[in-house]
Amino acid sequence: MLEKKDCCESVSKFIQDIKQKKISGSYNIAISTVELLKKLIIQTEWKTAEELLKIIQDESKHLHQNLPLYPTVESMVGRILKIIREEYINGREDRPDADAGVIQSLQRLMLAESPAEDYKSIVPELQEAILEHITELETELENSMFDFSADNIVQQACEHIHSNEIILTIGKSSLVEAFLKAAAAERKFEVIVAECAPFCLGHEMAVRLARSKIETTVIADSSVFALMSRVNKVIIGTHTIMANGGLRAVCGSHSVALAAKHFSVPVYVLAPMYKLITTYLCSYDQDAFNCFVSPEGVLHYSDGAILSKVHVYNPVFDYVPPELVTLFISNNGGHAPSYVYRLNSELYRLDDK
Amino acid sequence: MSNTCGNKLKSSETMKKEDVLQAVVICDNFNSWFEPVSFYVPVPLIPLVNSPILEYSLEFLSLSGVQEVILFCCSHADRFKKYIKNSKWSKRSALMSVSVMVSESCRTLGDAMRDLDAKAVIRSDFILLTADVIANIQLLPILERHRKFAKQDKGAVMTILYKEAGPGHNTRSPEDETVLAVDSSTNRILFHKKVGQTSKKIVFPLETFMDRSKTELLYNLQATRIYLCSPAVPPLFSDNFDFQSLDDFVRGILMNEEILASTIYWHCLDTAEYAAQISTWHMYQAVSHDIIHRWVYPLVPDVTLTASGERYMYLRHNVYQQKSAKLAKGCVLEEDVVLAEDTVIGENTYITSSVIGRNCVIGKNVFVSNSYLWDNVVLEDNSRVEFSVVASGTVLKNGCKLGQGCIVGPETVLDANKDIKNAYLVASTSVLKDDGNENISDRKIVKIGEKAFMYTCITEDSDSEEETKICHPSGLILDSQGESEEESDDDLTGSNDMSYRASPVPDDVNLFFNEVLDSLSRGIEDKLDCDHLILEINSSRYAYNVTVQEVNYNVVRALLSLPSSSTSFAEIKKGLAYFMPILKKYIRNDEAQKDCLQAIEDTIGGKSELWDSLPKLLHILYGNDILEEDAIMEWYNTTDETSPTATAIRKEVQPLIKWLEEADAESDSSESE
Amino acid sequence: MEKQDIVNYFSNILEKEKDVSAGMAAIRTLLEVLKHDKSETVQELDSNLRAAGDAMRNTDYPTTAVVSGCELFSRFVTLTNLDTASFGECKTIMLQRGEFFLKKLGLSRGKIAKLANNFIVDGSRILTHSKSRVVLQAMQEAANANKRFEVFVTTSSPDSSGVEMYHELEKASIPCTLILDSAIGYVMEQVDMVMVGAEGVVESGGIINKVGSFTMAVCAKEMKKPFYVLTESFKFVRTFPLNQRDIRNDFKYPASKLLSDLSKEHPLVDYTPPAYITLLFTDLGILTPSAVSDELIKLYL
Repeated sequence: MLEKKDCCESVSKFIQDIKQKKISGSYNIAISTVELLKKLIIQTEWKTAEELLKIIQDESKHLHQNLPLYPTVESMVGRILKIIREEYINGREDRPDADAGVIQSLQRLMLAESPAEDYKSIVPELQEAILEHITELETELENSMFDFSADNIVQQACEHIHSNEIILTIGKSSLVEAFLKAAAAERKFEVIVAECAPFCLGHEMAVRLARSKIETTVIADSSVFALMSRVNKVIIGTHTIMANGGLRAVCGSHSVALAAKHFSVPVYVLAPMYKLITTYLCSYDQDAFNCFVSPEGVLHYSDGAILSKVHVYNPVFDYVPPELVTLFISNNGGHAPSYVYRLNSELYRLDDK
Repeated sequence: MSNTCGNKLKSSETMKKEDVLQAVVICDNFNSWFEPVSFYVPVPLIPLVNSPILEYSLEFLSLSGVQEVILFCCSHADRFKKYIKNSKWSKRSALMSVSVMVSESCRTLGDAMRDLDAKAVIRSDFILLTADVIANIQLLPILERHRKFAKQDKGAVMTILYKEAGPGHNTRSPEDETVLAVDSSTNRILFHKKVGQTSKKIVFPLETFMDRSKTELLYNLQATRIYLCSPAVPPLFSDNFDFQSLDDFVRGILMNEEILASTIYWHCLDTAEYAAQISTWHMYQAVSHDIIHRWVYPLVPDVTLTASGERYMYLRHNVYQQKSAKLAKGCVLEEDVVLAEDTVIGENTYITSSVIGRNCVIGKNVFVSNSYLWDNVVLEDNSRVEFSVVASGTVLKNGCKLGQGCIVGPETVLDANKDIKNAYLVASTSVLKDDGNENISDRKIVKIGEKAFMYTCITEDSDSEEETKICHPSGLILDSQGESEEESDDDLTGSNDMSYRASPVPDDVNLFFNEVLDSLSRGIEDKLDCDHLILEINSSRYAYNVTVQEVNYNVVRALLSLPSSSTSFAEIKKGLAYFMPILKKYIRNDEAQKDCLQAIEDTIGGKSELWDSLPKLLHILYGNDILEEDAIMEWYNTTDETSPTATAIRKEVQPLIKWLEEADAESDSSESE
Repeated sequence: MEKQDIVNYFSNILEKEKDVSAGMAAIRTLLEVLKHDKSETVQELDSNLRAAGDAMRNTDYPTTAVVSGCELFSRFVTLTNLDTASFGECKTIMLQRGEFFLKKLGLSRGKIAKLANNFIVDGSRILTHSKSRVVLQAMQEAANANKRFEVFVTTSSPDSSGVEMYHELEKASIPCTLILDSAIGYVMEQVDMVMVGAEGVVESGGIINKVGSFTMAVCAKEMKKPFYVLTESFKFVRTFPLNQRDIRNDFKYPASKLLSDLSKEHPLVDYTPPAYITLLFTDLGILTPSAVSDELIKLYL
């Protein structure tokens, strides 16, 4: 059994690794979060589910405070908390009823006889059950992203992209890239990539697409509207899906989505389920919603005296309201933004925060 | 930690990669820039945007993958030990080990390095920096580069990091203005010179350029004070007792390259990377600004440095606020404000471009701008703080005013309605005496309260006076003054351009004008021969491709706009007398005379104080046969009725015209006789 | 209990306790009915409860919440009737659970206020319509949490309930401005969000609320301001209005006017379709309008 301090250490190591970008890419982060939590479950000392929940919730707070902008971590912690609760209830001998205490609903509100489950009783072989369930989760993750060709999302590519279509995308997303390449294996179509200044990762994206013989055009972000009229579909990735179906995506996505709306071009968002979080956008100035990085890309530091006279901002994310998204393509099929609340309540327990 | 272990590691190449990356942080800046605060707090523990400077350095090292940090303290060692003990670095979860090494006897950085050599703790290439360096660099790739240099050149002992920043950049420390000559093919530093404001000449030794295909001279660099050193550096300090600072070291190595068989390389940081040293109050201010403006991302209050206490919220207009800060109704946080936890701000208080520490109590109707308040500061109602640093625990009673670069030491209590500008304040005189610093005993110390003693700043370096920016002696840039200076600059150029507003002068002509103005002012200062000046003007003329007409016009205009002659006629007269040959050269025909008169009208027209001397001026020119009577008369008669200046000027010259007419009549009559 | 007793009991709660909404009062009244009930079968009990509900609906208090409350309660009764030995025993259990249910509902307002609190950020300006106890509580809590915000309240004719709201906010020393109903468009550009309560939440996810809410919602949508609804879950009502005229008359008009010529009457409520609503804050959590039908299906299917 590990001491509390040791588990602290592995959490700190995890945070440090993510901050130093030793672990990068949402898939890798998802996998290593699950591993970390598994380690916590195995190595710390706990007797009841309540204790275990507390341990993980404490660590999750710590993680959230240090990594506010990594939705994958949050999402994985949420999934595992829910797994623990489910296994606890399944494992209890007197099994109150199948999904007690899982989703709060109007029905539950009326039927609840006793106060909510307290997770205090000792359930035999709870740890084994939980770990088994987590293995299922891992398989799901691996299926979804371990190898792009096997990915469920990528496999749907041909359903959404047709011959001779013009697809517009913005910035760089390895998922979108794999998706387009998968479609290109069977169909011929054209891709327009908005460069996504100031980081201009779109250039890199375009180079990669062009290498796999997809006809690719790079445009400036400002020309998105001008070219939208001839685009058939917008396919983008996202950083996060908010609880209301809105997106936290790379800066510039909102204007792409608005342009698409104006020309009635459908907007497809590729997002594996671990990008879904339970937070809402409270206000556009919301703390820790956006990430403002060094303004270097906007104005050069070496420009000298002007720097002390101006304000330069370099936000990384955009909020895209749900009404601008046509469809989410995720590892378990396509979902409309209005359905996101349902996915949320299926995957997480909403009061686990 | 033994030396043998280090040798073993060195012997095997494969082991080297897995070596622990060490950094040596010198916790003393060996100067008195930060007094009087530095009497109380060691400089690395001074709060910068509410976190100690040292915290930034350690965070930077940790993020860039350093595993072992040696804090080298020469004074206040116990405070550093205590600080590290209570910080997150001594927790078991920390991934970087921080050890404190004490050597009380060190007076300079050189001593410290020699001590380091004696203690033999350096095992391989290490990073050397002072504790006041703020950066967000990834060191590993640069270290890789340094090792590559070392592989090619056995003598490579050091790579110095520089950040590109144009002259006039706020974060360039005036103390660290450097000219660098480097070999572009190898990145070797060939020449390194700190340029004081006094010397305008730099002498490059000929070797700098000999036998090299390409040598770059650089003046667009900001020193970062981060050095990647090979293990040979501490012994080099030991061998050369005259190396007191790193600048000595660099100079020594470069001068005695052959003898010491060592070379130094440079590395220019990627544009996205930031590094600066907080060496003076000026840099304190500049780096605070950069942090608030997020150039140092991720070392900004809302991202990294939150381990202690709650997270900062990052709001619009660069306002950072911790949740427990309490704002009363009607108080305004304009922009670039940092508010730490548990601070209370009263009604109708206005704060802009400032950092406020923890537990501060700020009353009603207080005005704070461009200031740095540390923890537990109390500002009572109606007080006003501008361009000042206020250390922890200070109390400003009702209606106090601090301005123009006050530095207030900790625990000072200022009584009501004091108005203090440009001074150092301390709570008691004991620290000043204890220090045994002769500089201070010379100073006039004024007691202004039970716990408030004031002494004004004495400029230690006369250089700073010649600086272009108006700087407080303590180094704080007082922007309001800077701006007013700029405004006056604008006024000057404005007056020159005033009459051109309708038809703006093309750029080239303006440049030409400036060139001529330069030549002339130099001419009069250095008493140059007019023939040379004519030559210069002519070459400028071809350089900027201006027409003869414009040449004539601008030469006269420049002559009248000389800085010396801008106010009094006597000066103008002197200038005219000196430059008469030039005028004679250019103003040779009717057309030229017309231009000349136009230039006079435009230049003098903008300076009403000189109007009355206009007839005299024309008379001189007439007397020297530069202007002919006909030309003057013609000019006089072509009035632009719409311009009041033109009419007024013509009115001024009426006596002259009359005199001319009379003389004309006389000569007529004499002729007729 | 006689019909008159029921009505008296019901109006008594509403008059004495200003803090209790009509829906809650209805549920309490029904519980009281249950306590005094002498019926022998579930069928009889059910019809008794229905009669009580009808009696309450015939008062001049807002009916929507009464309807939803009654429906919920009768659903609760049918769901509870489990296999116990005697009907008397069953009734005791019912009463017990009824009390518990009521207690839980009582907590819901606090829960909602807490949820909504996150959305009231420092420096925001909020527009609200008429008087809503839950909105008021959310604002009071936000003010206690040291947030600085400003509120615009419509007077909300014909009963000027907004004036009451205004005074309550003043009491909590929240800076607020009373505006005319016709000035909604005028202030909309200045506000950051709209927060209203609801008399009932219908199956589509839309709401039925004090007349004027729809105007506000349309205006907010046009000016791209979020339109938030704060409402307890017992106000979910099983009706699916297709348009304004499709709302039940007893929702729209006071019971006393139902027999007169309705075309001359002013409706007291209007229907705001789900497309205009950004989010609903309920004691079940934050819901998107589409999640409402889900909740209702779960309960009534």
